Amino acid sequence: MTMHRDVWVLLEAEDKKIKSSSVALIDEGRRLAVQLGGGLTAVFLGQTVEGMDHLVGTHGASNLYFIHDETLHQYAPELYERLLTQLLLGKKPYLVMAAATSLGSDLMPRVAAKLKAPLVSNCVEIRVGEDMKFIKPVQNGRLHATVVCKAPGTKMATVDPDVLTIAKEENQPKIAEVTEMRPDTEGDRLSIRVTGFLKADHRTIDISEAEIIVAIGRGVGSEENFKIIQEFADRIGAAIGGTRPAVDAGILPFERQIGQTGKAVSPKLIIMCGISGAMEFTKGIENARTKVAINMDRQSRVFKSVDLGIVDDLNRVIPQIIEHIDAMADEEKGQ
Amino acid sequence: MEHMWTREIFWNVGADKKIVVYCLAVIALGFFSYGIYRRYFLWRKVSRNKGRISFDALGKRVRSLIIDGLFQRRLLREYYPGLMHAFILWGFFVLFLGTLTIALQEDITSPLMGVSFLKGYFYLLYKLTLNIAGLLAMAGILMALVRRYIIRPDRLSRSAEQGVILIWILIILVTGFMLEGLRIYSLKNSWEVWSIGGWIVSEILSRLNAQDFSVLYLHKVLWWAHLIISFGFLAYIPFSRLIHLVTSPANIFINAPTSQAVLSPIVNFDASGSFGVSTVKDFTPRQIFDFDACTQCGRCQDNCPAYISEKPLSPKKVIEELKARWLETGELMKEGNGVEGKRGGENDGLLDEDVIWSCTLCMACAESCPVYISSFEKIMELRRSLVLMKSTFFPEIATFFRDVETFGDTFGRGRAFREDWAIGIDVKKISDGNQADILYWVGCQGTFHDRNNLIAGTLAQLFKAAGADFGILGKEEYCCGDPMRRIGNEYLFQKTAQRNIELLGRLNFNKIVTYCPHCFNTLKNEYPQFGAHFDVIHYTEFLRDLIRAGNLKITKNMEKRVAYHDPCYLARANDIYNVPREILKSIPGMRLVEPERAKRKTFCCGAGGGHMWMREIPGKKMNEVRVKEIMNGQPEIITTSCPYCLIMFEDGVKSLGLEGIKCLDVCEIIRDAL
Amino acid sequence: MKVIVFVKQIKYVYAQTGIDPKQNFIGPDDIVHIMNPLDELALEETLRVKEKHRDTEIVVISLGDGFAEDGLRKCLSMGADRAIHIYDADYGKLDAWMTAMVLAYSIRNQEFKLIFCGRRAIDDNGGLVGPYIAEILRIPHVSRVVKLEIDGGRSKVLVHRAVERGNREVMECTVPALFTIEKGINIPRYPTLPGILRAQKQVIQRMEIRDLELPLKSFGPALNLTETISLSNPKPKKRSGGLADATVSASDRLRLMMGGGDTETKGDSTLVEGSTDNVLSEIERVFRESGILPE
Ligand SMILES: Cc1cc2nc3c(=O)[nH]c(=O)nc-3n(C[C@H](O)[C@H](O)[C@H](O)COP(=O)(O)OP(=O)(O)OC[C@H]3O[C@@H](n4cnc5c(N)ncnc54)[C@H](O)[C@@H]3O)c2cc1C
Ligand code: SF4
Ligand code: SF4
Repeated sequence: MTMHRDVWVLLEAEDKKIKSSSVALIDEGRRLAVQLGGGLTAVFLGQTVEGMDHLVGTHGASNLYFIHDETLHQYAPELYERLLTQLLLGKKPYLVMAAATSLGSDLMPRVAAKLKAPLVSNCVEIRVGEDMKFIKPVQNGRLHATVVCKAPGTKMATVDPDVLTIAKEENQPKIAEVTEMRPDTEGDRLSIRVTGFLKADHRTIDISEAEIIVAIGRGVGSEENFKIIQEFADRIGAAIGGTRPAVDAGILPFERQIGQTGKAVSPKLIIMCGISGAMEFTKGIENARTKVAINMDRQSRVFKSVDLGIVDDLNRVIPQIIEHIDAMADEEKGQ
Repeated sequence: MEHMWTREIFWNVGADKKIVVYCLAVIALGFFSYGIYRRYFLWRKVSRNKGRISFDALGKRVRSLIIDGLFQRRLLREYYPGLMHAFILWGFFVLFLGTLTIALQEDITSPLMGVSFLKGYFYLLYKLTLNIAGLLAMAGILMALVRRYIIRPDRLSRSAEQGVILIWILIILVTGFMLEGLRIYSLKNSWEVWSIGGWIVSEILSRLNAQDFSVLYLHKVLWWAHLIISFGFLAYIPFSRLIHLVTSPANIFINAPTSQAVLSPIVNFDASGSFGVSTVKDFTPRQIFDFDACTQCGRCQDNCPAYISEKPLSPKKVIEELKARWLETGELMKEGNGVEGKRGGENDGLLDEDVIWSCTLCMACAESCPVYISSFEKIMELRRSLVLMKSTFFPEIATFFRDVETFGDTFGRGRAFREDWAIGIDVKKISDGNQADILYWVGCQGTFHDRNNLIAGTLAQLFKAAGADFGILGKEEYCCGDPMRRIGNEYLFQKTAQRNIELLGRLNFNKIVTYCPHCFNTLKNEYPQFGAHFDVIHYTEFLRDLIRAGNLKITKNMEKRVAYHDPCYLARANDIYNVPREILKSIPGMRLVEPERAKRKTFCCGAGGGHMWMREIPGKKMNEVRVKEIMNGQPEIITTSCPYCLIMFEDGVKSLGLEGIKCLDVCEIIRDAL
Repeated sequence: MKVIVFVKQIKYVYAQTGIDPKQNFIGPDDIVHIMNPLDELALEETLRVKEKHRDTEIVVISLGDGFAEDGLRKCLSMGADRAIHIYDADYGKLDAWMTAMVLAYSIRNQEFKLIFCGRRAIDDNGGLVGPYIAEILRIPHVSRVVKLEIDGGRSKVLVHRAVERGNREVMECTVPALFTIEKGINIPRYPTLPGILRAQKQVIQRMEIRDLELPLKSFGPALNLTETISLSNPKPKKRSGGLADATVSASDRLRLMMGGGDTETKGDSTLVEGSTDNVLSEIERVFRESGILPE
């Protein structure tokens, strides 16, 4: 039975680099491949990335299928779908994984439908056992469902990128065997054409759509202090929202008010600066994923519902955080 | 010579002219009637709805007519304008009665029975009375002129018409006195000193040494002038603001029994129907009559918290603007040029949406209106149209509606959490098989708000301490519906009310005690519209009874300055303002300071009418305005008995940066004093 | 122009106040029936299409048990023209693939231009049904649509697709096509009262799954590709601060009740204060987890 228990992972790139979520996915794939007793293969569609074979190999994939063509530089749903389907039909791996990114979540169902393969989306954990068990959050994350695949053949999964972490242990430098494929895409008649890309500006994006928010409250005090907040938000690409007092004080326009009489937001991360966490405010951040609060008052209600609470003067902490981010960025460059 | 004390009615003019006078009178009355008739068309025909004036509660109507109409109770709440108006009204009323008395003698008693009663002491008294009345009226007019043109307060507009009217009245009075003076001067009867005004004129004349002939001539001319001006005045009434002489008392009569605390229900939910008001034609004739009864006195505006907080709303302007729309539409209809949907007919811009949403439904406008006009009633109709017909409102209100629909509470938390506030207090639950004397209706605020749920708990503990047999509905409790109704979603309100009525009707209890004044008002006054009559009391009443009965014993001294704020829906809507004061005063040492606007005249905290879930409309923050006003009395504690008010004041105290001022519910003070 | 919207009525678990661990502390009061919020956005988008293209006919279709009718009525009250209820007494047993088969075959013989779905349902968090339907019907689809415009000739649709960090891909797609709608595209309307009253009288067409002529010999959950075998409570996230009362887990709620209702529960970990290094390393961890800093 344990003949073909190969694991495949789909890679994505951004700014000519393999995305960190993809690297983490290779690590996850290796962990599963080891348990399944199969090999690990990565597949990548797109533009050449320097040192790709090394990176992939080092993280544990022995093979890399690299499909490249002008038409693939940007995500083209139908082409990606056709090419990946063809490849998988031929190789019949045991498990195919992608990160549940905008690309992964779009491509995987297309391919799964073509293959009639079972697909479990947005997994936070995959367990190897008698049956493979896929754990995913349901009911807005309140519960976890354990899903199994009933259909035979290739199993597919997308994995929540936020739970993927790059393994800490040192890897042996290794080079993956690269199979380059240059498909012929001339004949494809595409129904979907990608015509452009709009880069969001974190300063102007609507707070209800923002993924990262710096929320300010009365504790920020003055417009003067607001400058440091703006700088902080720029560093981490956050949209700025705030409490009603911040709006009343004229620091923010009404469209940026969060709460019962403002907007409801659902960012991945919200950093609350000088906010006491009044109920009228927290009504608006119920769907925020990770909450951080900076407040000098240890007793503040805001700390009751946060993932990280920092008890300190924001005018002291925030400049330090900015410095820290800059230092880290320099380190990155230095590498 | 007692019998001499009278006068010849057509002196110097000649009794033969009587017929001319009566012709003129008929003409004037003709104009008057025609004017009223035209108006009547506008009152009745512009509206699509059939309206009938109801005559139930006749006693109340007549009482209000006398107290508020004749005795000017509501007007006299403000001294200067009150007295001013009362002087004019009373003066004219008496003068009018005087003229009637003459007509009575000349046309009925004298020709038919040969009886003339205007003589002797009665005549002197009659003269004195009329003269005083005339002088009072004159004083009133002068006061009015000064007020409108010299010290003009913000709420009065500078209107030419008003000036014309005042001067006109002044001329009638002056010519009247002059006529009398001229007559006295030429007859030279010393007892006519009783006609003070006329006597003064005659004295002036004698100083001037007026010639007899010219005096008689002048008298004749003035006599006719006075007559024509007076009749002209009568004819002018229906064509000017003077129509309020008719409409205002009529309006008092019509509206007196209407309770401001309840909104009129929509009775027929029919898919093809139109709900609320989108064109003036949708108003009922009664509502339209309100527009015409408004005297533009501006009292409503002076008491409107939205106006005072510089929001874009003035209840006076609301009536004025709607009136203009109504007249426009009416005129077009009279011309009969197919006005359906044309100018004045269409909804867009009957009032600005910001105006419509600024109202907190605090009822202060209706409370202060001398002629029983409710501005907010009209605003409510427009809201209903926006919400029910057009579905245009702030997105946060849509969220609010969804929360209530899905979760049954105004916080969108859900029934699963309904009993959390009572964790650790051990409160009985009333259900089908489980009864109690008192049903404690906690309300969404008391249940879910993280400040108010402490108060809900305090109340439960007080009830327990007093040994009351009470229970809660627990998870079965549901929003009472007040905010939905006052935002304009009558449909959602009625569905909610029906659900609650069905549930409450099934259970066994004697009385409902509510924490929130809004629940209180809704359960007590609005559910009866749907056939549910429960015995509902507010917790302050319940606590007062418990204290009086000695079940709660106040033992501690509290040397504190405390300001009590009256919640609109307790004080204004339900006349409960002495009860909480009585409770507070039962605490030794407590010094109660009264805010400037208190009791029925209280000022809205800013959260009513759905504003708890609505953005702040540009202007000052209403809660800050109120907190500042309360702070004038330099209290250490601001207390109230409404969850909404409490949140608003805590917010206001914080945003004003007032250090050390505590906001407490009345029951928390009681708890601390036990 | 016919536009189809697939909507789902979901049993949403908003609390866990039950006492039975076997039920994952889900009590009878912890569930509300709501229309999937993103489906509501999808319907709203079609209503906006209709406002521009008057001849649009909006058909809403829902697979489900009796509760599905509530959702369909809501759609009608918002302005949908027709509603079809595909009745499934055993609702909840079919997986995404079988659901998509049913829904796709319910419209297979109809002439439609556009199909709208929500990007995912908040109960099962799948995001698969829409794409599967498109694949089964062999029409193109675009997922995560946050802006949509039909081109004048109605031969193609211009869309914005939401990708990471608020960025958008701009695409063109021929019709007929399917779009899955992402939040941010619009704010759904609240139905007017005449709408609500009208919807109460409207007839909802009811179909049985067996009438659909599925290309399958047998039918039922047995043909599912995946199956949910159990539900569990997630392991609590590492929190530095304490737990929100709104998100208190069932066991914590029990503790809370024993403890006299004090909501000031503190989590296992404490707040960071004082040591700057500590603060910075904690915030760095959060940033990395949230993808702000490279991992
Ligand atoms: C009807 C109504 C509707 C409302 N709707 C909303 C709404 O939609 N949204 C909303 O946000 N609010 C709303 N509010 C207001 C709400 O009740 C709170 O008052 C508000 O959210 C508090 O804002 P805040 O936390 O900014 O200010 P505060 O409560 O004053 O808190 C300031 C905090 O900053 C801290 N702080 C001060 N200086 C510093 C420093 N240097 N460093 C670190 N920390 C510092 C303090 O310790 C304090 O905890 C509403 C209120 C009402 C009455
Ligand atoms: S109800 Fe209150 S807020 Fe509304 S118009 Fe009247 S006085 Fe103003
Ligand atoms: S509505 Fe009443 S209070 Fe307001 S201006 Fe008119 S008469 Fe005066």
